[in-house]
Order: sequence, then structure tokens, then C-alpha cells
Amino acid sequence: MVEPSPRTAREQVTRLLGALRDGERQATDELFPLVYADLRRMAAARMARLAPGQTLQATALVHEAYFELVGTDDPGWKGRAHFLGAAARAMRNILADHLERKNSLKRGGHLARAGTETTEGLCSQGPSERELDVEEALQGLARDFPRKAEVVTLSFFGGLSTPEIAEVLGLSERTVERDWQFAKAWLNRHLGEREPMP
Amino acid sequence: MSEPLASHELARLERLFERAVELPRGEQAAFVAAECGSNEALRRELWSLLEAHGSEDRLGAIVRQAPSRTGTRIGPYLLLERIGEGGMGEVYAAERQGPIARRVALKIIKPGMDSRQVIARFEVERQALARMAHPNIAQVFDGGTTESGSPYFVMELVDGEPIHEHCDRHALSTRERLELFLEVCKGVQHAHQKGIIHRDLKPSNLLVTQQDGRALPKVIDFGVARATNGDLTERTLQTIVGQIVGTLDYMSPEQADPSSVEIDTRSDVYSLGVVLYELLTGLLPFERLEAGGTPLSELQRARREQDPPTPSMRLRRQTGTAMRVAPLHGTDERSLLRQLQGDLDWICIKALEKDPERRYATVDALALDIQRHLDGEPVTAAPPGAGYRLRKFVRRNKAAVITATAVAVALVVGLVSAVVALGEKARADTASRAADRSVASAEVTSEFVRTILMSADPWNEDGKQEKTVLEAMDDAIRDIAAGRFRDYPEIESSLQNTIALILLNRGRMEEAEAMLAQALDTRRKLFHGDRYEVVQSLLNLSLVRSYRYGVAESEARIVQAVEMSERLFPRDHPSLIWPLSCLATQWSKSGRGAEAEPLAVRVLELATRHYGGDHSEVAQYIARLARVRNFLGRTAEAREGFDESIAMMRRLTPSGSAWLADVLWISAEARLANGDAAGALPELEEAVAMAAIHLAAMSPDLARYEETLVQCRVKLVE
Repeated sequence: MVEPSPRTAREQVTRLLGALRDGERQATDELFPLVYADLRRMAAARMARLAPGQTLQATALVHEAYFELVGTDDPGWKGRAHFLGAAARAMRNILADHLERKNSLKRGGHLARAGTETTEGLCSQGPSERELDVEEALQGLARDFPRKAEVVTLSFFGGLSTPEIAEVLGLSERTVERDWQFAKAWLNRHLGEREPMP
Repeated sequence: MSEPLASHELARLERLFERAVELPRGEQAAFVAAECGSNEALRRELWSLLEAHGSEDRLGAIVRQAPSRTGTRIGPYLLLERIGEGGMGEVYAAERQGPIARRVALKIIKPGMDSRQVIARFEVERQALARMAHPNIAQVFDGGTTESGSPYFVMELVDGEPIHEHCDRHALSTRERLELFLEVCKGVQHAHQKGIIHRDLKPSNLLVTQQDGRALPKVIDFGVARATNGDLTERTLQTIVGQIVGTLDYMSPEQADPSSVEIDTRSDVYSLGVVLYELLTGLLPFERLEAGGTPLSELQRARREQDPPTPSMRLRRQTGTAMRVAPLHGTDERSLLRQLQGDLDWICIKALEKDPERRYATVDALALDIQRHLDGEPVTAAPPGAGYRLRKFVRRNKAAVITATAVAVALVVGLVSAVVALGEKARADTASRAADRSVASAEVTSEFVRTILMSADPWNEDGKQEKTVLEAMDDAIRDIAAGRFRDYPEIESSLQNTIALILLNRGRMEEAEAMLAQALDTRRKLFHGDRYEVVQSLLNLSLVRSYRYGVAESEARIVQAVEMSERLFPRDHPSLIWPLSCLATQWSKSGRGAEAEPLAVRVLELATRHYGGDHSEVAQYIARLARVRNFLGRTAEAREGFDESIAMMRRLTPSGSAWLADVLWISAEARLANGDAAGALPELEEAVAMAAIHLAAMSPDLARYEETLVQCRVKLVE
């Protein structure tokens, strides 16, 4: 079972989603920290209960957060899009933290040898290795093409549809489609480069 | 990694990529070379992106490769083994725990969809799904949400392989394939009867399993597509790019069109058509939709406008494929083509019609035609004759056609179809003398069409500003009378038929009758024995004569037409609808309601099967059956029929139509007969107002409505 989230957080989210529906775009910025805090809490709770060999699924977690924080009060499709958008961004933040820790472990030679178990533990219980690969590739994409990386974030981690992404980012659907096509090729290439590593 | 590009080059890279992906693969290299010139870094970057675009979808693979959940529990189900993994999710063999352990298939939908909506949509159909019980359907037991919020479905575990793999692996003959396909149809038809549309019929959802030593096809995933696909716009990018594309090949045009409102069972008929096509030829009716390159909307547009080639044509064009496919059917290339050519070609084409109205109305109708083919009986699917070509002509020239008046269209259509039919006949005729004759008559007709159309041209040499179409028609009548078509009786009679109907609708009944009588005479001399053309003439003539002299006079002709049609067509052929309904009306009006009633029921059944649910023809026959029942004094039952018919027409033509006016009138007439003049009045007023818009001023129908309205007012005053 999922833990009930603090009542106040839920109420705040509901209020913010209402504001978004009424066109107050700055509500997005207020939404992010709320969702981020909750996602962290949920991720930690999940990790503690994961069976060996299982990994945390970032996308699943984002959707779970939606259920927990919004539940059955229907915020309309725009509200849903903005929430999942915020959650997807928050999820990427969490993944970035994990990536940072993993890479720092790898870098510190003797530390890595001594802590092999720790590294594995982190990878098998945290987000999956592949999701960290995507995160790393996305950071590369974001350096040159920040907007395209945003589109991928919303689509990949948030599961948002084209019209939803267009709504959240204030772009036309055609632009979203084009960005996605380019970003997909870009990421595909990057992920391909990593693959042959033994 | 390649060396970094400058920021202005990044924008250029982006633009070049967008243009290059639209190009066919073969042209991309030349494009890259031309655009990048000596800029080596840009060239390499662009090329590697294009290559990555065309290669396997690594990103998508990550989304799909969820860790196995084998050994875990979902609700009362213990997951035993992962048996399938697709774009939409994973399938596990699972065991239901409890006193009676049962093996089931459990399908978990991957995250990325709104689970609440999925489940809500599933709940809508749940009861109907539970009522399905058919050997050719994998039963759906349950649905719910996993702890992490993913929707799942539980269904009968089918240990089998997709139908086309089964057929190829066992080198099944065309007949065996058709027999297997017929069982699939039975399953789908059963679901349709329970109100369930599958929406995602494709080979991977049609599994063939072994039961009692024989192959048993089973349709799986009922209810899943409905629950997981809201409409196209709701789907995520990943879904569109990665997974739905495979399904698009089997999707009906109306289903793939994001703007279409509702789909019905005929959408499944289309998907089955694609499956059948593939079973018969090893090819899809259209080239497979590829995810890369062209935008989806482009592909869909092309799909909407192209007509599929017939199966035999498609195989003929791809001789390599035919050679490869024939052994899989246990035969050689030439016999395979011979088997497909004709009936099976047209059955596929009819199932694949873009317009659902033109498709088989039900899966049963499709199955019946296949059965007829197997039994060596004539099928209802027809080769694309004049009518088909003509519809395509109209579709292509819709704007032009709409601007012309209905009369002109009717006239030109009649003429053009005569020309087209003759042209086809000329090509089909092998004996050269007959061919010459057909070509000659085609030429006469097209010359005639040309003069008529020219005469409507404001700049013709007549000097008159603009000839009306009716004047042009009068010219045509004179030409016929002058014997211009004496040597071409086929043309003459079909022109007379068309012109007579126009005359009838404009109230020129005497001329209409004379013309129809001549046409009948000509056709009787021309065609020996039973011909549909003769049936047509008989019924048209009896229609005019019943308007002019009352019902009693026309019975002999109608009976003759019915007898002839029954010799011509199988018992449930749609061409029987019209003659039988004329006979039913005839009987009921001449006081033989008890005999007319079962006939009217049969007509309605035929029409429903042929046209499907809501259709103006069906509405007419519902009203006509109700009228018969009203004659018989079964007024309550009759009232239900009238109301149903009117409601159907209001749904079909919310802003009114001649059809709606007609059913309103039929209903009002019954009210009057039952002494309810007050109830009849509003219906009659509406019918008259509507007919005044949709019919010609002198139309006999409008006259009838007005007459009834007067009677009604008189009754009310009394």
C-alpha cells in the first residue's frame, strides 16, 4: 500500500492545479518543490522495500506520485499534464543525484574497489542502470538543445502526449513532434555509443 | 564523440535534419553531401543522427524493458512466467490462487497511460465482456490496477501462435485458410452481438491453438483496446512512434482519423479485411507504415486517398513475393493467383472500403460471402463496375458535383454510367465484333453526354444565355424519340430509366410512365430470361402506375419482379430488399396485412444486415413494417416502430431530409387512421415544410403529404 501523503500537500497541489487550469502559469513553479519533496519521500520508501535484483522504475514512480497527490479529484487534462510535467522534472532531478553519486564512486579509484558492493547496491535498488543512461544522455542533449531535452523529459518520464507537452511548454504540436524526432535520433545515437562497452 | 559544433551550426544541424528525414533513405546521402559541403564536423554529426534515426529504437527499448515480475503477486494472481512483451505492456502466465487454482493470462499495461481512465473505460464494458462465451474468443475475466498504478487485464490463457504464422508453418491451402478465418469471424460476430467492438484485430491478437487434435483460432484482448486507447490525441508520443504504428496497418480509416467521432462494428470488419488480405497474399493491402521519416499525419492522409489494389493484382505486381508465398499455400504461383482472382479479390475490397457504408455491414455478411465462395455460389461483393468507378469519379470531383443541381447530377450520372459500363464491356468482350459494337455505342453515348453538357454551357452557339438542365433533358427526350439510339438499345433503355425517374420526381407522370413502359419493352427484347435490369423496369413502372391509378393495378408486375429476383439472387441477397418491400407494401395496401407482415419483417432483417445499424434505408423499412402492423391493429407495437424510425432519421439528418419527411408522413398517416388527428398534425406540418425544401415543387410525394395535411385539418375541425 502507498502511504497517505500529508493532507496539506494534497490540498496545495489541488489548489495549484486549479490555478493552472485558470491560466496562472507561475503556479508551475510552485508545484515543482511540492512534487519533488513527495517524490523523494516515495522513492526512498520504495527503495527500502525492493526485493534484491529489482529496480525502481522512474516512470512508474511519477505516475504513482500522481495517484497519491491528486488521486481522484480530476484536475482536467491540463492540470494532469502540468502535474506530470512537474513530476517528470522532479524525477530527473532525483536521477541526476543518483548519477552524480554513481559517477563519484566510479571516479575514486580505491574507493570504488573498496565499495564495489555499495555501487551494485545503489544500482540494483535505485533507479535502473538504463534509466541512469537515459539521464546522462539527456544531460548531454540539454547542453546543446535544452528545449528538446524538456520535450523528452515530459514524454519519457511523464508519459505526456503531444498535445499535453505542447500545453505545458507553450509550443505548437508540430514543434513538439519535430523536437521529439530530432531528440530521439540524438539520444538513440548517444545510447548506441555506450552500448558496446564491455 | 565528434568535436563540438558552434552554436549557429547547431541551429543549422537542426534544420538540415528536419529536411533530411523527410527524404527517402536513398536520397539522404546526396542531400548531406550537398548541404554540408566541406564542413566535415557538421556532415558527420548530421549523418550519424540520420543513421541513429533509422536504426533500432534504443530509447523505446528502455521504456519497454521492464524488469520481470515473475514470482510476484498481483491481487489473487501469482505471476509464473513472462510469455509476451509488446509495445503496450507485458503478458504473464499466472495462476489464480484459491480453492480452485486456474491458469490465466495477465496483461500488464506499461506506465505512461492514465490508469484511472483505462480502468474507467474497462468498467464500462466489463459486464458485456463477462457475457461473452464463445469457443473462438479468449474470455476476459478481470481487470484492475497493480500496486504501482498500472492497469492489468486477466483473460483466458491461450497457448497458440498468430494465425498467419500458423497458416504458413502448416502450408495451409487457400481453402483451409478461409475456413480458419471463418471461425475468427464467428468469434468476432459473437462479441458484436454482445455489444463489444474489438478495435485492435490483427494477427497477433488472433491466436491458433490446438484443441482435441484440431486447430482452433481464438480472438484475444477483447476490451483491452477500448480501455487503453482513448482516441489518437490522447496517446503519448512514445505510443505513437513506437507501438501504435504496427497496429495502424490494421486500423480502419475512421479509427485512424483523430477527428472521427464514433466507430462501430464495421471498423472491425475493415481490420478483418486486412487480416484476410494478408492471409491470402502474405502482404498487407498497403505498404507497411514505417515509423521513421514521413510524419504520421502524411501517412494517414495517403492511406485515406489511396484505394488498395486487389489481392491478385498486388501479388501480380510483386512476382518475387508470389513465388515466395505460393509454396506456403501448398501451391504454385499461377494457381494461387487463379484462386484469388475474382470472388476473393472483391470480398477483400468490399471489406476494405474506406466508407463504412460501403463495407460489409456486419462480420456475418463478410463470413457469409466467404462461405458462398467456398460453396461455389455467387457472392454479393461485386467487381468494381460502372457504379464503383462512378463513385470514385464523384469522390474526386465532389466540389463540381455539389454545385450542379440534383437533377443534372442524376442525368449525367445515368449517362456517364452507361458510358463507363459500355467501355468495360468492350474491354471484357473477347469476340471482336461484339467489342466493336460496344466501343461504338460507348462513343455514341459519350458524344451525347458532351452535347448535353455543352448545352448547359452559357457560351454555346445557341446564343441563349444558359440552358437549364431540364431543357437539356427535354432535348435528350427528343433525341430518343427521333431514334438517335435505335441501334443501341442498352443505352436507350438506361437513359429512359434515368430520365423517367427525374420526370416522376417533377410530377410529369404521364411522360414518365410512357418512358418506363418503353424501357421495359426494350429490355425485355434485349435480355432474354431473368435480368436485374428488367426487375428494375418492372418496379419503376409499377411505382408510377400506383401513383397514377392506385395500388390494385400494379400487383402483377411486382409479383413478376419478385419472382425474377428470387431466381436471380440467393435468399439473403441485398438486391431482394427493394422488390420484396414493394410487394409487402402492395399486399398491405390491398388488405392482405397478415401476409404482408412476415414479408416486411424479412425486408427489415435483410436491410439491417446489409446496411448495419443507423441507416436511412433501415429507418424506411422500420416505418414500413410499423405501417403494416398498424393496419393489422397492432397499434402499440407499430407506434414503437414509427418512433424508432423517426428517431433514427433525426440522428442521421438532424437538419431534415426527404427521408425524414417520409417517415414523419408514414407515422402521421397511421395516427390519422387510428383517430389521433391532433397527434398527426405536428408531424405532417413538419413533413410538408421539410419536403418543400428537399423535394421539387411538383413532386408526387410532396403532393401526398399536403393532401394528408388537408385531411388532418378537416378531421380536427370536425
